[in-house]
Amino acid sequence: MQTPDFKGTHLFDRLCWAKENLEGHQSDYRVVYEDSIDECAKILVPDPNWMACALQGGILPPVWVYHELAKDEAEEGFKKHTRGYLLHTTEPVGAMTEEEAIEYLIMKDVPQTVWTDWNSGNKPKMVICRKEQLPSTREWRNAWKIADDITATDIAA
Amino acid sequence: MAGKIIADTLEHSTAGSVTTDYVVNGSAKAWHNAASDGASVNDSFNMSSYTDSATGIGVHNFTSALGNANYATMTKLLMDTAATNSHRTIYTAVQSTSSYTEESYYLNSSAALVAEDRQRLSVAHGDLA
Repeated sequence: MQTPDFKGTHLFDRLCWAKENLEGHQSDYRVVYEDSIDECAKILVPDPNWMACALQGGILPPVWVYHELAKDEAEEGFKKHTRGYLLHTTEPVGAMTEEEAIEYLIMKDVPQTVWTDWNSGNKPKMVICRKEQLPSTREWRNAWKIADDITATDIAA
Repeated sequence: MAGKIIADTLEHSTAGSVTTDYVVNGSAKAWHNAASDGASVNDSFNMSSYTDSATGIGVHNFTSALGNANYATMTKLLMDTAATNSHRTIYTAVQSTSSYTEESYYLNSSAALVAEDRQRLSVAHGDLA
């Protein structure tokens, strides 16, 4: 199905179109990351309807738009967004592969301190894996950590 | 876009009228149905991802951000008739324009709150950015 020309269309309206016209896509990818030494590993689960938008193209804004809004919100005294129009008027990005969509999602929903510096310590702070590579039960969930002996080479393999 | 109607008021022949502001402002801006295993999302609208942060703790990330952090969320936990502890609670711990974090617990026999994973049905109402 061809995406309508959504340039200038409110993002919410684009999502309404997508919900009505696209099948959700359950990605098998999960992003495991650690953003605090005192907390267990967190797991980012891609949303199936969002993933359908990413694969379709022409719906989602470029990821830098979210970074601009995050900068605004981090300003002292922030009350409300005054540059929300960036979500709606910036030309939507084209179709992504599932892997590109995961990269985009990492830059959108994982803390920037994790993904800009994911491999600078003794072990990677972030790993992309398959759902079946996660522990099969929730037992000891609050103790889950990225393995100490994992390396960037292991991840690339 | 085809099929577009621009109207400020909807009027019924006998029941009166309502401005479309009611529809725009009163509609939910996002909803989410997250599985209890924390590892999957059943269905949603206006969500980009769900972060399983720990037992009972999850973050809902918006695709189209909210205009401010003063929006309202409502979440219920799916009932499990087989569960032995019937007193449960879920609350929103952190809200930003891009996401909100929720924590769910059950009350054990010592009246202590214990973090628990359970299927979540969540809605957000507010103004879009």
